[in-house]
Order: sequence, then C-alpha cells, then structure tokens
Amino acid sequence: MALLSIEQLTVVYRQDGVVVPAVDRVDLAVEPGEVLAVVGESGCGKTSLALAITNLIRPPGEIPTGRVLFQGQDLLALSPGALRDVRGRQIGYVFQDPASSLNPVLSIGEQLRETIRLHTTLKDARADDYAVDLLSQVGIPSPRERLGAYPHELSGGMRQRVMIAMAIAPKPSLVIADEPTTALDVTVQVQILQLLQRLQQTLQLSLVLISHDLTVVERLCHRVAVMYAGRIVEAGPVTEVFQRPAHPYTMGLLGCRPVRLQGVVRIGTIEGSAPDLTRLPSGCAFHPRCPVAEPRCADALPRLDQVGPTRVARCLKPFSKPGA
Amino acid sequence: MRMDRFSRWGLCIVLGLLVVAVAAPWLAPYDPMAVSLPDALLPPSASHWLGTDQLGRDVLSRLIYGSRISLSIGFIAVGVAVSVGIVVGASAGFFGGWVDSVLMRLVDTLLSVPTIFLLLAIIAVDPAERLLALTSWPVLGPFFRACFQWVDPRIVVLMAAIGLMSWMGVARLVRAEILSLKEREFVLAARVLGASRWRLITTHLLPNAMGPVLVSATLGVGGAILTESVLSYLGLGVQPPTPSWGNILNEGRVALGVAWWLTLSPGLCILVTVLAFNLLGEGIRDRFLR
Amino acid sequence: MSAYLVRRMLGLIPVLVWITILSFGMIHLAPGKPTDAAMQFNPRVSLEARERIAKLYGLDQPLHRQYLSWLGRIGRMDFGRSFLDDRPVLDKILERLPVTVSINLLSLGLVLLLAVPLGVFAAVRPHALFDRVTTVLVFIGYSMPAFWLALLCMAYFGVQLRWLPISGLHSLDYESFGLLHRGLDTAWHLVLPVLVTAFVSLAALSRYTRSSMVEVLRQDYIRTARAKGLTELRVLFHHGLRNGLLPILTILGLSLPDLIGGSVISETIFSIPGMGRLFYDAVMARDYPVVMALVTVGAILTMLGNFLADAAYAVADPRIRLGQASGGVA
Repeated sequence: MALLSIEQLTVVYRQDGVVVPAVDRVDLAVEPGEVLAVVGESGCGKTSLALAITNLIRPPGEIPTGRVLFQGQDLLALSPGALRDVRGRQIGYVFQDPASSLNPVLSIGEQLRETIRLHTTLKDARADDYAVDLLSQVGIPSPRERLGAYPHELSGGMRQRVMIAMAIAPKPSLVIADEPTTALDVTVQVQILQLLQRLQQTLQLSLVLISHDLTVVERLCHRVAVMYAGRIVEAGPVTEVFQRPAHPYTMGLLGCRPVRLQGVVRIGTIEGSAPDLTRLPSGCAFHPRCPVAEPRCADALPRLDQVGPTRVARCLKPFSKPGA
Repeated sequence: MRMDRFSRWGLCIVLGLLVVAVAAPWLAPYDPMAVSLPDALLPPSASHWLGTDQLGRDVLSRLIYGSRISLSIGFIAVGVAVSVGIVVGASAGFFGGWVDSVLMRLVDTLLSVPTIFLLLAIIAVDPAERLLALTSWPVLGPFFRACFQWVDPRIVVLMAAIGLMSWMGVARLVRAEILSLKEREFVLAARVLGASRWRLITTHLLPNAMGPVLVSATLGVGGAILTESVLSYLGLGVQPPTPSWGNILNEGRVALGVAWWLTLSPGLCILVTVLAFNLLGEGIRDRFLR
Repeated sequence: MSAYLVRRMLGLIPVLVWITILSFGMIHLAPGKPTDAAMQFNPRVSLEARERIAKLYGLDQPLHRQYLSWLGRIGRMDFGRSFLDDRPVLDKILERLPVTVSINLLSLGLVLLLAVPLGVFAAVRPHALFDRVTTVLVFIGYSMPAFWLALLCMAYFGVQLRWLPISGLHSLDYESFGLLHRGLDTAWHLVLPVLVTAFVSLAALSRYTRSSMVEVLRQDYIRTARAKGLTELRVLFHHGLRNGLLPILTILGLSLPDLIGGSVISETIFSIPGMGRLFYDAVMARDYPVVMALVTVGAILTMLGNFLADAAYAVADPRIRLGQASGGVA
C-alpha cells in the first residue's frame, strides 16, 4: 500500500472576492522508501500542495475537496489534535529558507528539544544527548557547543542542517522538503542534497522533494511529478520521463536545462510566461505556449492518461505514446 | 478595503468642517459673543439647540466659530511643523556627516522632553510679549500692528509653538526617505547630468519623499487640534471670549454637575474632528503607500 | 551586550547637553531679565529673594559662564529656590516625584495587561468581528481628548454615581485611618487618574501589538512551528509573542514623554499633588526655577526610560545581545 496517497486534492485562495485555484484536483502517490520529486515553475502550486498534505493551509487559503491518505488514514478528516500527532512525528518538513524558518529568538537547542520533547519520550539530559546526536548526524561540527547557538550565529548551510535535524528527530516515515537548497549557496547545495540522500537511505524515509532544479531531481529521485498551473501534467519514473518526456511542457522544461552544445552552453526557453492563476486558459492550461497545440486543446481539460506502465500524462497528443 | 469606506467618511467630515468654518457667520444662529445673563445655563432646547453657557451665550454658535480657531490652528501648526521638518530632515539626509549628527541630536533631545512640558515652558516665557514688541520696530512696526489687529499674537504664538513641537517626526521621515532615495539610479543620473544640489533636492528628492509627509501632516492636524484643546482647557491657549472648543470645556468645568451640555458637545466636536483627520490620514497611507 | 549598552549610554550624553542648553536658554528668552520677570509677576518675591536670584543666575557674568555655573549647580542637584515659597526646588520635586511615578507605573502596568492580549487576539483573527470592533474603539480612543474623558468620568462616576472620589489623594479624615485603611483610601483615590492615564496609551499600544503580531504570524518560523505539530497556543505564545513583543518594548520607551506629559492633565483635573500639577502651577505663576528644573527632570526621566527599554530589548533579542555573527563552515 502506498505510504501517502493524495486524491483529487484542491487548494484555493480567496483574495478580494477572487478565487485562485493553486492546486487543482491533484492525484499523487508515494511508496515507502521512495523519493518523489514535484517539479514546476514558481507559482505553479508546489508549496501549496506540500502544505496541504498536513493541512497547514491557513486563511485566505482553504482545501475545499480532496483526500490525503497517509497509511490508510485521511489526514484532512482528522481532528486537529490527531492531526498534530501526525504532523512532525510521522511527517516531517524541511522548508526553503532556513534564515526565516527558524525562530530567531530561541536557540537551536531549544527548538530541537521542543520537537524531541513533543514527539519522543526522552527528557532533559537524554533529550540533550539525542539532540547532539542528531546534530552530528546532519554534519554539524562540535554539536554540543552548538546547542546554545542562535540561528543568526550560523551560516545558511548549517541552519538548513538544523532544520533537517528537527525534521528527522522523531524518526518520521515521510519527509517533505520544499526547495531545501534554493536559498543556499551553490557549493552548499550539493552538500545538503548529499545529506538528504544519505539520510533517506539510512533511515529508509520516503521523501517528497519539491524543486525546480531538474539536475538535482535526476540525481536524487526515483519518480517525478510535473506540475503546471496547479495540475499534474506528467508523472513517472525519473529516468523514463527525462529521457522520453511525454508532455510538451516537460519537454520544454528539459530543454531549459543548461546544455553544452558544440562547446557552447545553451539555455533553451519556453515561450510565454507562467499563466495567471485567476485567468487560466480554457482546456489545457499550457496550450497558449505549446509548440504542438491544436484547436481541440482549448476545448476541455485533458485527463491524466496512462502513457506507460507507470507513467501518466495530461495531454491529447503526448509524445511517447505506447506504440507510437 | 475596509478603510476605504471609513476614510471616505473622514474626508467628508473634514470637508464639511471646512465649509462650516468658512460659512460660520451664515450658519451660526446667534452671535457667539452675545452675552445674555437671563438666559444663562439653559439646557438644549428648540431655540438653543445646544443650550447656553454661564453668560447666556449660545453654545452652538460658539462651537461653530470655534471650528474656525481649531481648524486654522491645526492647519497652520502643521504647516510650520512640515516646513521646519522638511528643511531639517532634508539637510540632515542630504548633507550627512556632522550636519546630520548635530541635527539628529537636536531632534532626539526635543523628542525626549514631554511635549506638554515644552509647550507650557514656552508659554511661560510669554513669547506673545516679544511679538508685541515687534510693533515698535522702526520700519515694519505698523505692518506688524496691522497683522495683529487681524490675528491675536497669542494665537500666532500658539500655532508656532504647537508646530515647533511636531516638526521632529516630519524631519525624521524626510531624512529617512532622502537617505534611501539618495542612492537610487535616477538621482545618480541627475548628478551625472550636472544637476546642482539645490535642484537635486527640490526637483528629484523631495517630491518622492512627500508621501509619508502627507500622511504625517494629515494625522498631525488632528494632533494639533488635540493639543490646542488641552492648552485652551488649561487656560493657556486661546483666551476667552474668543471661542475655542478647549476653552468652552474649561468654562464648562465648574458647571459640570448641572450643565452637562457644556462639556459633552465641545468634546464631541473635538472627537469627531480628530477622528476624521485620523481616518483620512490612515486612508491616504493605505491607498498610496501600500 | 555590554558594549551595546555602553554605546547607547555614551550617545545620550550629547542629548543631555542639549537639554541643559535648552533649559538654560529658555530662561533667557523670558521678557527682560529673569529677575525682572519675577518681580513683575510676583509681588511676593522679597528683596532678599531678588538679590539671591541675581547672584544665583550670576546675571553680571557673560552668558557662557552663567551657563557653566548653572550646569555645575545642576550637577550638584541644586536647582535653586522656588519664587513662590522660596523652598528649594529639589525638595518640591522630590516630594511629588513618587506620586507621579507611581501613577505612571500603575497605568503602564494596566496598559500592558490589557493592550497585549487585546492586540494578540485581534491579530490571530484579523478582520474578524473582534478585530474590527477593537479597531474602531482604538481609533476613537486615539482621537479623544484625554481630559475630556477625565471630565466625563468625573461627572459620571464621581458625581452622578458617587462611586469614586474626584479629587486629591486622600480623604479628609485620612489621618485618622489605620494603615490598611490608608492604603485602601489612597488606592481608591488613584483609580480614576490611573484609568484615565492608561486609556490614552491603551489605544496606541494595542494597535501596535496587533500590527506587530500580524507581522510575526506571517513569518516562516511560525509555519515551521506548526509543521512540527505544536499546539496553536504554544505557537502563538512561545514562538509568536516572544518575537512580537520586541517592538513593543521600543514603543513603550518612545511613549514615555507622552506619559509624563499626560500627568499634567490628569493631576490637574483630579487635584493630585504630583509633578505634573507642580509644573502647571509653576507655569501659571511664572515660577521659572521650578519650570526649568522640571523640564530638565522630565527629559532626564524620559531618557532613563528609553535607556531601560533599550536595555530590555537588548536582553530579550539574542541578535542584539550576542551581536551579529555568522560563524562556522557550511
């Protein structure tokens, strides 16, 4: 059974009387021990999706429909108290900007201990020992001295390591990482990703990695889901999707990666810009920018069709259709 | 969004008040100075909508004329404050260095003294006497005398004093804006094109800094009106028989138990007026600065 | 942190200097010489007093030397003698100081007790009914003349309902009361002045708390705290309020001048024998030594309060306490 099964999840934001659909009837699944990537341009709904999984959406956002089945239970139907048990303990989060995601007036030791006290039975000295252990697991030197440090005293990379430590402290089965390296220096990015990979393997976590960096995705992940305008437009095993993309958008994204062609680095682009979520094009949201669009693409939203044994794509003319 | 409605009300009330102040002679049912002892301390009635005071004067008429005083003091005091504040703040922000340090220390000092203390202290040294002394100057004497026929020097002092208490906030605002604008490209461009310092300040820097100043000025009118009412209430502001909302309250104090209308209506006038300016100021802030 | 505090203290010195210059300058703005003014408006000033005053101000000396000697006297806490009753100004101030300070501290406490929860609850549900109602009330409170409120309270609670006394610090037969009764009597007399003084700051402070908290609750670390599975209450208070209160400390410091200035009004209306009342009486009687001294003292008290607020902020915010440092390897 899938560890996490998202069914028809929708997230909308109400602003000034306008309803903005950030996430539109998304279906996703994550198996135990699997690393799933969710990729897409900024503003396509990735973060809202991540937050919605444990109902962290706050007004003016809301979740009108959908189910999030975690180990068989619908998280969205749980009482607040029961949901809080799952949050943090079984599903951990790592957010994008560690500078703003850590409370500046509490030491990292206090913030770690808070998690430990809440989700484990360890107290006092034993909790401290565990905190030190966690910090060394994530690669922070002199961990015991660091317990009393405040976030502003640490570098970006170290702060993110602390966030990761906080996320894995209660030994969760799933960690959701929302663009964990975007705010960091390039050199540090590599280290953090290696850390995540190592932890995922040793702790046998499932990892949902949200990113817009396809190179990272290729290295780390087993499966990938591509989002556009709040909808999943393609999903499947990473190697397959990246070598033979089915959806024109995915193809475009892959073409956007820096590529060395005859000694010159080229960066392709997709024409146009990300759609305004309040005024989505009819039918397939990508058709205004799609190089192979047809008139019928504007008629109705294509279904998520099977285009391979474990692949789906939302397109009327996917590229690698079986038998094509 | 919510503020829009309220700040529109504020604007309406302010405009209405301006109309009342200008049209006072036509709107007031009675002469505000007309004493009529047999009619003293009458409660509100059909002939005197807001009652009468100890000297039989109609309260409504006095309140209407009082609006002239309050509004003019408010606007002029703010005018003084804004003028001084812009000059000081722009100088500090633009020239920097020791000019900045000295000026800002002055600002800090003045801000440390409780406003009322400073105001009362200023009034204690009777600057009005000094002003009156201007009338005996050789050439300009008669000019000043004519001015003082038209407006009581004590009120001038009041306006100036209140204004001088509030320029510090404006100065800080202007300085902050100038500091941040100084480094922007259009300023560098103007400098490269050889704009003189004066031109830089007046044409490029200041106009962009006016937004927060406008908000501060609007809110400041309300504050100035409050300050004036406090001073008049304490007997140190507008002197009777000139009606001001504050000194009507002062006169009403002794009759508090019997003549509640002498206390309620002037206070409400102040409240509504200051509220209107505050709402307007907040509305301007939300609309133009967010 | 100590380096930070020392720097702040040093920064206050020029301000102090300016204050003394200001006070000194004011006396010389008075029409004629200080002694003339005294003689002109105060027939009660005796000949000896006049001579003493002339010596006090060293009016025969050049201005800067007068200033320096005045400064020296201030340093020794010698503020001269009052024109009214020839008593040392310092004594008059000292006997009134505790009253004013207590009223202000009490109302400050009351304000904090009320304004912070009000602001927090309004921030938690922005634009809900509670928030809107409190915003309206705050606006009205901002725009109301404090003394008018005092008058209305006096009229209603004091005269109409006769629940609370409207003047003075003690009842007439205070002397005959036992210790406990005395304490209660004083407290009873303090109710209206403290409430009125508090009301004005309440409006401002609850608004600032609200906007500070709204800003804080928008931050990412609040989201992290929720994602960790903490209860809303803990998120709000342990994570939210600890950050939200920091700007409030600064605001408190900045509102000190208004608080002290407000004493003038409330003490005058309620006939409380405090510093504010002393100042008002001195101004009315043109008792310049007292006026000057109180301007200086008022400013010093404000600076002290600001400094304390700064120090409290430095203690509470580790970014200030420990200094900005980004250490260690990635």
